[in-house]
Amino acid sequence: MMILLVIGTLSQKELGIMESQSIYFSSFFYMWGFVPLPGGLTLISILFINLLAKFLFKSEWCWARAGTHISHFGILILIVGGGISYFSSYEGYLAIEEGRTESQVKDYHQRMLVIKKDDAIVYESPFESISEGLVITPAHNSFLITITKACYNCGITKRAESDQDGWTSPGRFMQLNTEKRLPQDEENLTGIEFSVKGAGKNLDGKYLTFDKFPKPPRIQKDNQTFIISIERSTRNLPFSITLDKFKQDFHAGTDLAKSYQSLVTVTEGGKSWPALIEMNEPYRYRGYTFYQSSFDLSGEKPYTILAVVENKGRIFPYIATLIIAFGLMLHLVLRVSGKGKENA
Amino acid sequence: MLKYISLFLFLVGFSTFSLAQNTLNLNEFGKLPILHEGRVKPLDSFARIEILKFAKRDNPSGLTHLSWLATSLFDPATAVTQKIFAVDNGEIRHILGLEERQRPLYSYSELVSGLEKTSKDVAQLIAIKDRKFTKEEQDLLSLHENALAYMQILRSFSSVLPLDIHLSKSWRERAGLKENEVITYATLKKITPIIDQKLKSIIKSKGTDPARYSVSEKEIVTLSWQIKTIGVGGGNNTIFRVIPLPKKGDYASPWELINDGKGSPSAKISLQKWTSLATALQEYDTAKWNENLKEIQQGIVGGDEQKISIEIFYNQIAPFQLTIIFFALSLIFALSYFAAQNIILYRLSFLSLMAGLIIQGLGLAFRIYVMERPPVGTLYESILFVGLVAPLISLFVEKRLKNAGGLLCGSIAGVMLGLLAQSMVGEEDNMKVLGAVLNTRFWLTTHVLCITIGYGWCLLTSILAHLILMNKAIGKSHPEDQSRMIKIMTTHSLFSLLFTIIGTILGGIWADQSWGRFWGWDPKENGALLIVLWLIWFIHGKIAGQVSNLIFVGGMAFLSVIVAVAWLGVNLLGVGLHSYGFIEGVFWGLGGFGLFEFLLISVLVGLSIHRGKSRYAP
Repeated sequence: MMILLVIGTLSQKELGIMESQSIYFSSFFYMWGFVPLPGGLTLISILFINLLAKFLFKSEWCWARAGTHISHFGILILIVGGGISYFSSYEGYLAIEEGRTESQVKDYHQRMLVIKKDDAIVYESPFESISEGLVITPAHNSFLITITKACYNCGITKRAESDQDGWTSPGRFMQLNTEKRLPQDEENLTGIEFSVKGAGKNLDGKYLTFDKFPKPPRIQKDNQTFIISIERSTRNLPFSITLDKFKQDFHAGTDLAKSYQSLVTVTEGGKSWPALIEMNEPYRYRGYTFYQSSFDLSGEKPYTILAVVENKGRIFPYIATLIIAFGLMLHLVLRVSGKGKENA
Repeated sequence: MLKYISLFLFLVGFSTFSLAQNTLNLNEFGKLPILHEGRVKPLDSFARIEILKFAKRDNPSGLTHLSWLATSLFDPATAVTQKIFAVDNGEIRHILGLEERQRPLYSYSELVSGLEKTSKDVAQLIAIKDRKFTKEEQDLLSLHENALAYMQILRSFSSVLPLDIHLSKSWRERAGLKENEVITYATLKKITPIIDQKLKSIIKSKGTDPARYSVSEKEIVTLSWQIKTIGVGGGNNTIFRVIPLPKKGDYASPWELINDGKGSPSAKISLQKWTSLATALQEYDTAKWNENLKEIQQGIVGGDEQKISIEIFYNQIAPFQLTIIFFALSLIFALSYFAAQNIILYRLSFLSLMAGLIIQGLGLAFRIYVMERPPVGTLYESILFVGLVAPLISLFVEKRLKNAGGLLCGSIAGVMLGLLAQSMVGEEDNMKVLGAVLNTRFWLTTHVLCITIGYGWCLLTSILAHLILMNKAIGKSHPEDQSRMIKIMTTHSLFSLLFTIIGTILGGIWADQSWGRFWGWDPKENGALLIVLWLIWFIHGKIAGQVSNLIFVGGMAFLSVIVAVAWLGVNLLGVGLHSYGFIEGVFWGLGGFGLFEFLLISVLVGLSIHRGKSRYAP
């Protein structure tokens, strides 16, 4: 586990935390050249089984060992909590403009190819399933979309004049180039180039779109508008959040923030109530926790970025801390007072 | 930018007096409050921080910090000739065309041409996003940054200081200047609208070729350029916020009063007093100096004099330098006691350690009082705190050992951590305010103190393990004593585990409260977990009989390296959410320490085995 910890930590310099976590810590094994080595999930599982077996079958149930047993029990609780969190938690974010209401949580990482017809999603696919040559028929075969390029991290360069034939703006002037995936996932610019056939003489052609592109391609066919975009995966909340005001305080005479606050209104089933979300003071409701994560003041009105986490295992570390602390302190008291075992 | 600097120096370059050996009351000057880096502090602190940033030492060329500050503020022409810039990198000295000196300290005027020559290179360097700089590039950038910061200080009062500008009689009258009254930027501002208007009509009628202008027109053009130049230079000058505003705890810089209209009647009076203070210094008028200082102090409503006084006292006694001396004395006496077995030496060692501890504790208490937050918020502060914790724990060790072994461990920890902290003095030691995520007293008190106590306990355990190994290697102590020492060390390894494991989990809970996840495999989190796993591995190995006592002691000795990697080393990666502690230049020191420890522990373990006297085997 220590070796894995060192390798996984050092690799973050090159791979970034997310990639490193995926390869080393959230995996059952990883490859070291041709040699498979146990990943974090395998090692933690072995540790858990080993500790549980020892706790149940090999423990010496006596007063002198009470502290040790309690500590071990706390560790078991911690690992169980970690497992529940790993398998059940969901993380995303809400970006809300001041005065606006949101109820859709966006995923931090999962990119999707989304085709909307008059604001309703008619096609949605994880980006990992998108490949060159893929043909999509979003409107009952009335027109075809063929993916000609898909890059998780695209570089944007000027398109050569000789290559501009058939392209619609802005693809006529810019092209997407596949680049190496960046360690910091949020820095990757995911995009596609595609061609449209059967939409009509004026609309058939080559298009491109990419993540957070403000004006994704629009195809108007039979009085219906189709929008093709790369978006983050979303999840609906059973209630909505309105940002009433975003406030930030600075340390006097500096641009160093002292605190950030989002004053919000939560609305559910016709009932509304105010709530305050600030740094280190999240707001919790119906299993969701909202954290003040970031903000954007570049527009006319401020945006607040709230991290949203649904985690059924979040209480476990709190319980485990108390149990482990109590167990270790008891063990030390017994040891120092001479009532504990000599060798522990 | 540099052409403006040169002109500025020319315009204010009439004064020739020297402050170096004067007897003006600079101590009172140092007590004046300034709003700097988010908190109100005495000028004494401001001057110390700034000169240390430029010169990398407290009093370069025998110049005291307050003397340097007063000269820089009120007599920039003299200030730019003072050798206060340390250029330690030989390559940079060569690039800037600086002469080689025994002490590589240079004045601003000596640097100007080199800075100008390299300004394009610097602009290109900073234009490249995410570029990794070489040591030379980093040093060059740092020098340019320091030079700009220094210019801000030099220009602090350029709006009210007398200028070496000639004004004809008619312009003097329009500016409302009396016969012998000096010209300042503030007075020139009164005639700026008329000058601008006239300039426009000159350009409209005669174009932009100065050769076509009359003498009076040339005067207008020159005057307009001079006013603009000084205005541009002071445009964003906010570093010297010393003029109190009506809102309690708020201060403005002289330039902010003029440019941003932050003035009030009381602020105007305060600015006049500061201007008068400048004149008093230039005229070397002690009475006027003292009188103005007193009046400036009286004009500050709601200032916290007690806090200012305590901070100055803290600066003057430099507690953390003092503690190194006491811990070093304790170390010497403890070693002497081992050699001579004289009880007086033992007591002296104990008293020195206690003195060091009391001063270290008081130093931290001063910081808590001044910063109004728990003592640890930065990497530097964590070293200071561990510098208290480890020697304090050594008293418990000594209580059990009663042979100066504990005193030796505590004094070694005190000296080493004191020296480590001193190596970071400078920008780290400025009692800075914390960003939003760290601005929480609860978590700074619980998680941060818990994990740093854990670090301290680990280090003390490691030093004790070294002592046991040395005793064993030289075969000096009795096996029963060694056995007792191992038992004590084991207890302390358990305390180390208690604090590091609870501290680590509390850190996870803080992360859950702030970022929405308990564990994110961030390098700092992994570092803390590494310490926990190391302790668990060896403690359980010993209990299970899989690790001999000798290897257990060796493992605990190596804990120092594990702690150093987790505490300081993970910051070298420069990734993760704990970027507040990032420090460069530690790599080689840390690598050297790790290698040294590995070799030392290996040799000691090897010697112990070789002597064949080991009774540690299970």
